[in-house]
Amino acid sequence: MSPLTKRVLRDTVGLSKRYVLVSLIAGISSAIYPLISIYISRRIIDMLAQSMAYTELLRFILLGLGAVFIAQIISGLFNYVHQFEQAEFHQRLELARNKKSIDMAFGYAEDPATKDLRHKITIIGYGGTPSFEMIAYSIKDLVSYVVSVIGAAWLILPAFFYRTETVYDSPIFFVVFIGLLLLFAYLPHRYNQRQNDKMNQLFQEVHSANTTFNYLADMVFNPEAGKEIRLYRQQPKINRWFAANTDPNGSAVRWMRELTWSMGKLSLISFSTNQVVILFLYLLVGFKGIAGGLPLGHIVAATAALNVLISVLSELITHLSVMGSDSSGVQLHYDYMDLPNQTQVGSIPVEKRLDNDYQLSAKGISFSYPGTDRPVLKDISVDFSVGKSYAIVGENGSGKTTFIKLLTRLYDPDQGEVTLNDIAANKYDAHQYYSLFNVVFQDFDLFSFKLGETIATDQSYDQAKVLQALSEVGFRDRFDQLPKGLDTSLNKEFDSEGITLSGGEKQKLALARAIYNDGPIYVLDEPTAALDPISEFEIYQKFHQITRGKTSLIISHRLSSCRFSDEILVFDHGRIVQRGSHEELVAVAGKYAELWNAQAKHYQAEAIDLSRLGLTEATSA
Amino acid sequence: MKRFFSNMNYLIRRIIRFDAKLFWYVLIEVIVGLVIAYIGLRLTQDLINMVAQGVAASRLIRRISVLIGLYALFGLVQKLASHQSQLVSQLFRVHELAEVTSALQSCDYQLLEREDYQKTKELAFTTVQQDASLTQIFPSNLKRFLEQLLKIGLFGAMLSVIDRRFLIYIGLLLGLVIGYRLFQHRFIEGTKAERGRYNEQYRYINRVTGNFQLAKDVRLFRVQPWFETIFEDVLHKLRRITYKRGLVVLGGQFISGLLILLLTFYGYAVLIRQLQAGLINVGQLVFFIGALTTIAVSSSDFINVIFDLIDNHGDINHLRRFLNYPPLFNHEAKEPIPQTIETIELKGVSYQYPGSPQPLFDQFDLTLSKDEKVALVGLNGAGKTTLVKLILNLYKPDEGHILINGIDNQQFAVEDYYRLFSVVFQDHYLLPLSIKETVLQDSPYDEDKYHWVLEKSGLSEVIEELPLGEDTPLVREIDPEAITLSGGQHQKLKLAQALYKDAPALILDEPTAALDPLAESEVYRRYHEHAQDKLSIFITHRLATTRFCDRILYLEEGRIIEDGTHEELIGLGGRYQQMYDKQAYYYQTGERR
Repeated sequence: MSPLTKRVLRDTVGLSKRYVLVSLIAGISSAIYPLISIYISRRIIDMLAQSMAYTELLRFILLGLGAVFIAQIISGLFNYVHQFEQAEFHQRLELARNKKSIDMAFGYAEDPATKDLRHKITIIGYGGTPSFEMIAYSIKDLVSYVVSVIGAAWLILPAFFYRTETVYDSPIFFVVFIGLLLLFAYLPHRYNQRQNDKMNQLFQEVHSANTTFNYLADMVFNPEAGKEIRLYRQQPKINRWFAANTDPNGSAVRWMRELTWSMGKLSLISFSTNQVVILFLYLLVGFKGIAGGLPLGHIVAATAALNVLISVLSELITHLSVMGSDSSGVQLHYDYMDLPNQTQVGSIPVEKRLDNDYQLSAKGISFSYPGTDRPVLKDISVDFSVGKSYAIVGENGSGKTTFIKLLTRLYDPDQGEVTLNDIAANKYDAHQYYSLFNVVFQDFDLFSFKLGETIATDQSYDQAKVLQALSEVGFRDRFDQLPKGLDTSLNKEFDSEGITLSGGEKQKLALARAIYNDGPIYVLDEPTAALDPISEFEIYQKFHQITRGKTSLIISHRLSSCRFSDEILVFDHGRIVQRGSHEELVAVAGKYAELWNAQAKHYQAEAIDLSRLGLTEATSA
Repeated sequence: MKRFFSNMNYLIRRIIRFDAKLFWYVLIEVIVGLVIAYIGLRLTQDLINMVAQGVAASRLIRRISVLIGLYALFGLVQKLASHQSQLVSQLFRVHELAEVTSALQSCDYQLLEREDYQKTKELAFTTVQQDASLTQIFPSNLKRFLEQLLKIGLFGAMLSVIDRRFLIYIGLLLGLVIGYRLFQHRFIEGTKAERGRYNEQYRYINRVTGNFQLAKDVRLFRVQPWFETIFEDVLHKLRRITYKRGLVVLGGQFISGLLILLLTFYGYAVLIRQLQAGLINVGQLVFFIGALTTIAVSSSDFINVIFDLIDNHGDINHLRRFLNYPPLFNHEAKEPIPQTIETIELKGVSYQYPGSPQPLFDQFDLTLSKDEKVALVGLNGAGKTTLVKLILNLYKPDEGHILINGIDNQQFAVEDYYRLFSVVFQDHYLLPLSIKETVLQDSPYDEDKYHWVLEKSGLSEVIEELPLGEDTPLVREIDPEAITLSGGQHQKLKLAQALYKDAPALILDEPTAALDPLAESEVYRRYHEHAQDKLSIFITHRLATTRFCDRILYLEEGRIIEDGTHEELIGLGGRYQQMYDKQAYYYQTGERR
């Protein structure tokens, strides 16, 4: 057995012992009952020849049929359970792969090559290349084949070794029989292997057609994309791509044809050669019967068992050879599972402090995305004072979002380091480090569970704290209309009465989730992009209450957010080109003034009446 | 029952239209399968009889060789036919898959958002999605059905020559097992919904945890333990249902196994009597016992295949319903599409989202005319996007009419109607095309227009920086050479696409939400330059930019409560002004906290 196969089997046991156990029992029992049946008929025929009494005969027959019946029921039971266990095993395997996508270093999770690898793992088996699944799923069959071969041999051999004192007792017949049997079982296997290489090649071609197909199918299945498809009359184009999959000369159809034909050819060849072995054995037992009194029961049993043997032998050889060699399909699985994890070097627990005195710094950090040589961040140094609020501004593509990915340790910098209380960020335990940040990413996702759980990202949560967070983001009015309160499900996956939220509402909840997390540092990337001006204003007004003297970083294209930040960092082409308060920066000609004026000029034409805003205390100047 | 036959009929017709030869392959498989089963049993019978009679070696060789030769010959024919039918079945399934995806693109847009349509879509998709889907396995089901039926008939008839009661017992066996299966079928139908729900939950967890786009949230919020608990919970529920179902299935196996035991036992009892009476020989006994075993195996397969079809024929109904879903819009051109838009009138338009308690628009009136630049503003949920979708004929009003130049828009074929509008949506969907192909979409290439559009949209600056220029592909998943456009670049591309379409009206849905201030400013400048001689509507949350518009409509709960220019509305001191003030607040000079 190859090392890779051993690893597959070990991991299979690790994922579900129950699956392996059920596979073993199902395999053995499904092989045994046809063998019992053959054995019983052999005994019956022999008894008939001995002209036994009618009732005694029937009693034995009833017993025999009963044995077959019981074996059949056991096999049926375990095969049913096996079917289910295999489905569950598959689900566990998928989850293990998904867990890996959570654990792997974030850079891999963002790399399209990883996504492609994951996709290939899912479909590699279609090309006939042995995959992790194929080996794990073959346990039952393999066991069943082994038992069948042993049992069939046990039923056939007596026909060879029965002494008839004729020329047919010669061992040469046995040798020829075994030789033919093995040769004809091995040939299709050889052919199959050669075929596999060819199929793999074709498969690569199909893979790219398949990727296009999946991409378009995803798009077509998404109602939102339907608007553009109709308004820009994209149907003929898309259908042409789809049609490529059914085009008789296209690679997809060619692959299908070749795949079914290569399997068809294989079965034709092995079927034909097997007839030679069958003819050989039938004639041999026939001669032995006529010339030397080989009992009829042995003849019937040997011929019936031969059919069993033939049907499994070549499969058995193929399976064994799959297990004996390292398959590229299995390798794909492990290429994925062995991707480096999030740097776990760190194990220092984050010190629990009640005073939120967590000081975050970037010390001369530079960064390029893996596989590129274009620096996105160049030598950035910032010390974030505890409790101050920072606005990060700059044009699209100036490196703002990348910067927060480094601060939150989703990426490690190429040069320099991110530190927390003067200790390098990656020295800390990753989970504890993550928990320091209350984040709202631009492309956030809420999960389809109960509202309370979604805000707390956990099944148990502090109700009062959730309600507090909902109030702070201005979701309380909507919340009070929900009959199930915090148990209201989002979306319909887990509850058909779940609610569907608008983009603005989702954004409020994302902010509430960040508030609930209650870490010492807020990181908000465009937290109000989907809100209307009124909701945005309300959030801005409450910003200081929300962040409660914690350190906060806010990225926004709406520069109004700079007005209530203590310090503004202006990013341009991966560098911080300006920093200071709004008043300082707007007074000098520079990137900030340029950005600010582009937006503010539209709002300064009319004087606004502050009394109309209903503001209170320190908010107005 | 009627439904069942009607669905089968529908499926068979579709296959015939695709490739009628498929049924010939099936027929060959069935007949040859029957012959092979007979030869197999004859082979054993003759072997036994010849040995018992002690015939000459040459006769044995001749007979056995002929039989095995025939067996091999028919076996080859069967395999060839089966190969052909499998291939054609698969091609048929893929063809149906293409039909489904094609229907999805051409159906009326409003349907896509309807719950019933979405469900039908999902279900229709399962009938064409996989190798195990009914559209693909139906021919082999049909083959099994016919072959097993004929085997039962043939061997049953042979046995009835020995003892007529065999027919009765075989009939009884079939009847009892079918009766139990009906019970089992009901039971399984009853658990289907629950299973479906848990499977959907599993798929959701799988989708979320496996989705690389969510990688940031999943990490930072440390959701893994939470998700694992839910996953185990879902698996546990699935297991419970499956085991319950397993008991019922096992009960069925028990009953049919027992009946087969009795039948076989009866067969032995009768045949041994006949043997002892010298009416048949040992070879015949083995033949008939073999025939009984074949009948037993065939019966259970026969019943399985019938119930497979009964269980799943509903799938065909979903496919059929989906492909023939009644359209909402008019697809027939009763009026030619105009070249220009003079006016768009909404008269007494009402529209209510399914499931919402009251209509969003109720008796809504609005007239827009040529050359107007209209801004649509209001709070989230005020109905801005819905209004645009109504005008675009993506939604159909429940009541009232939308008139283009005085003609009811339902008089135009909806496909033609879409020619009237160039639209920039918020979503970022891209076909796997090059930049140039994306700009052109389905319009013919006009060199002057193309270059003019590139200049005006600012896309030419983007293209200049790219090594592959206008031929640069845009989807990274598909083409490794592709580039991912930034938000601002994407907007330029979409503007170019809209301008190249050059339709009488231009509609923009929050085009700058993701843009930085400089890009935003530039995009507005370009939009307004190009909307000069067209009717244009744009939805925005950035009120300052509306000052370029001739007319601002402030929408609240499906009603226009303010209508005028920026200056007029500011003067009004109403909702628009309030909103403006709140947004402008932080942009004023003086300290702001």
